Amino acid sequence: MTEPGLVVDGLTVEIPTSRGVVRAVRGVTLSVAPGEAMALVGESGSGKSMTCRAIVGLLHPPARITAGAVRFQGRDLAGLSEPEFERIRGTGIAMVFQDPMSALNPVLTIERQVAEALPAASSPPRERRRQVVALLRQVGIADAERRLRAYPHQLSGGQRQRVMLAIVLARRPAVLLADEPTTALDVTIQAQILKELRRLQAQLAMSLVLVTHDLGVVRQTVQRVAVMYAGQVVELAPTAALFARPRHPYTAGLINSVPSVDRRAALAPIPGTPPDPVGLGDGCAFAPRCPIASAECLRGEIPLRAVADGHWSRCLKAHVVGGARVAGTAAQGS
Amino acid sequence: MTTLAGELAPPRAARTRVPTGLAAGATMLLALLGASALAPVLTSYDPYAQNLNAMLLPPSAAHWFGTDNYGRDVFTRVLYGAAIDLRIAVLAVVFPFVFGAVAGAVAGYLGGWVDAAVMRAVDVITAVPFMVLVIAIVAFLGPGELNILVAIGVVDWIVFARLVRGEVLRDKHLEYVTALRALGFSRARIVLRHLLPNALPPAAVFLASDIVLVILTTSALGFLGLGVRPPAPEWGLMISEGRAFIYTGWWAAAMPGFACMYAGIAFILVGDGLADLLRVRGQ
Amino acid sequence: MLRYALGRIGQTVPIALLVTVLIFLLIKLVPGDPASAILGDRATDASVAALRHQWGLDRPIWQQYAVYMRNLATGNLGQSLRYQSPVADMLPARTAVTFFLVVYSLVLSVVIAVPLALVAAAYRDRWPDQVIRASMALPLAAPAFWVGILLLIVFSLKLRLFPADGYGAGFGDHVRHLFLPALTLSYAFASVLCRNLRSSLVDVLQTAYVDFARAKGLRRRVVLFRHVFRAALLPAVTLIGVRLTYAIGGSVVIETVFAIPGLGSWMVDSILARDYVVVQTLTLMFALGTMLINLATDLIYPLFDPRLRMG
Repeated sequence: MTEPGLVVDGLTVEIPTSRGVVRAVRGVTLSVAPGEAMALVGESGSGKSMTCRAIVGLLHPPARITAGAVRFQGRDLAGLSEPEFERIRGTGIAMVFQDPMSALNPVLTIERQVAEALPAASSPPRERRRQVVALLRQVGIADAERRLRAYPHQLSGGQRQRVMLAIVLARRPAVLLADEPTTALDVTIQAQILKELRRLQAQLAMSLVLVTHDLGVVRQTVQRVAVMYAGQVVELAPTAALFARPRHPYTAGLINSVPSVDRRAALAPIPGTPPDPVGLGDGCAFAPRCPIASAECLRGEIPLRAVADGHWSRCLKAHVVGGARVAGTAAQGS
Repeated sequence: MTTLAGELAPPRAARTRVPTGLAAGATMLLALLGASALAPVLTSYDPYAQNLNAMLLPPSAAHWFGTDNYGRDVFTRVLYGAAIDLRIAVLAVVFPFVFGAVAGAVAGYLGGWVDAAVMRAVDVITAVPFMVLVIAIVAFLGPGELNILVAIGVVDWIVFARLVRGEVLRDKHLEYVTALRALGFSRARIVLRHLLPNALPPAAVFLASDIVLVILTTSALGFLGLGVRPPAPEWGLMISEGRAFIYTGWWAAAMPGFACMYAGIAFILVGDGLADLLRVRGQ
Repeated sequence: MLRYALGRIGQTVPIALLVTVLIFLLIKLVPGDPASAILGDRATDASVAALRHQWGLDRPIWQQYAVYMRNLATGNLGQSLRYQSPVADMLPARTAVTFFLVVYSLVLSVVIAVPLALVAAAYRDRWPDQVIRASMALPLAAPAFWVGILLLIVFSLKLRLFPADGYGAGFGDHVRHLFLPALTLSYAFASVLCRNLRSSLVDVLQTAYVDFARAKGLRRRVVLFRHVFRAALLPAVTLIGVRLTYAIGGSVVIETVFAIPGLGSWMVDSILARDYVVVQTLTLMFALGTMLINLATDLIYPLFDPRLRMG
């Protein structure tokens, strides 16, 4: 075990389409230490979910990994056969999905779906049932016994997400990838589920990769943030540093577009739309929407460079961002 | 993001098959129709003339599909038969298509008792298996081409009625229909000029597979002795006549069936091609 | 659930009554006078009049329908002119044969379609899928009676593996005699079932719950059989109901090809013999059977799909 935790190195995912090859994930490099919580942030289509799917080996064809490596506890996962991967999934790396309605099988009972996640060493049915009830209680499902025979459609959205967490708890994974676990829920329920997720992370001492587009969630939950845009990580930083001084204009734009109580700034959505995923060139993909872009931004690949200790940015003008304010938006702030 | 992949990557087969499948089906049909029309030129045999010296000859250079128990050239009869089977197939779907589409559109738009009446009629006819009802109607009317058309007409319209009604029900609350009503257009005009044409493409796609069904039904009636009368070279009838001689000459029964299958595949290809085209246009 | 069931049964009753009207009216389609049509050219006026009176043809049409319904209600299904015996007497034995054939064909369809659909879905868009889909499309274009004859030529005449006709005696004999006819009936159904099952498998394979089941670390076999299969088979249940009614329609022709003494060949014989009453009664029996199957499918389906199970 030379490398503990999860290391993603230059991961590239491509999808051949009728219009050309879409490079949905372009050379993503990340690492998550054991017990660490980090977030993958970006708009939909930025490649964050695809990155997670690639990590757990659940890409849907024709999407496939074309370059890079995913190493888990020092072992490269990209080349594993399906049976080998099955031994990693669940207990090694697990993933929960955005919509708990569609992520639970509609024709199987809750008990069945939780029980099948229990360690294979078979215990008598009564014991297993007791374990399922205990798991459901732990994630905050009150009348757990009565819920055993329920089907997913008979539960509320929050309860279904709790069932998913119970399943994770049964598996005790080393790394959990949570793909927008609260997006489909009401705001009040969101907070509860996040709390549950944090508790779970602490209890199992697992690594957490939280995929979200909600910066508010990020702030409360994780230690480190990777911001993705057009399939690339454009900024990677400790949470506090990122919010204090974003070093990529896209991140700055995201932060400015979030309503917050402590800042009376007018909401400033980022102008423009994300780029066409087909035929992305070398230069900065954000340049067309960027308030401080210049001609050099479109010339050649821009590397991810350290701008401070543990703070990385894929912007040529990282030194200008944040400090000199992002034109037009931050000017009205404070 | 999986949806992104899904949208950007339609199944490869669908993309390439659109033109080829449709073109192949259409070519197969044209070839069959052409060969049938040119049959007097293409073969020197007569589809009816019996030749007792050439009974049940196996397929050969002289008789591509062999000869039947009356010494008639099976290939020639299959070509002439195409005219009969395809004529019936096309004529038989005209009434069901037109009547079914109008009934479905009117029922869907007006609702109320009109809809209830049409749908009850649909339910009643659905309750009897297609083949059984067609056979029963022909049984009472008597055999013959016209009676086949009548029987299929009575039974087959319900599919189109149901299809078009569904489309109209979906469309009738759309903004443009409301706008047309606000502009004072008559109900008849809205249904016939606006809603019906919009509902027709799916029905037209279904038409192709319906024609296949009619071809199979016509040949089945011919086979049972309830369809076209001998000595007409109708495919089902030929299979029926050849059936008595499968010990000595399997080709007399087998060959007309291949013709039937050929026509069926051609129509299925055309239908699938149209459906793909429609789906692509719809996106 | 009970309300749903009662409601569904309630819908069927008026339809069934309308079906009896439709079938009652069928005999009016006979050109000219049915009585003289049946008795033929040599019939005397007296015998025609007697038959007309016997059938109530000399009464107003609504009275004729009333008589027809009263007869049905009392189990009087008419008299076969050809066999000079009540239709009701011959019905049970004939029905059993057709029932056996139809169920047999259903079993064969499932045996054929399920493995093929699994393979096609597993190898989606690759060559095994293409081959299976193409070969499953062919049967839709081929006349069933002709396929039956081909099977007869190959398996019965050339290879001598199966008897060419009849029904046999005893279960094992039935299975052997009806194998080719049931296979003939089943291939069209197998084709439709395979297509549908494949597409619903492909749909289910792409769902988030299958991804989640895999993300849990379940073995592929478990995911496939517990999660995928169960969900994908459900839509097929309704399909089985629909296709059973097709099989009933197809049995009319297939029983004739293989000379099987069921309802279908009886109907065809009766048509050729102008035994109109029998044709009418058998049409009604086919219709009632179809309605029962559709009703049963609708009632059974919610038991399989928890999403539809109410209260």
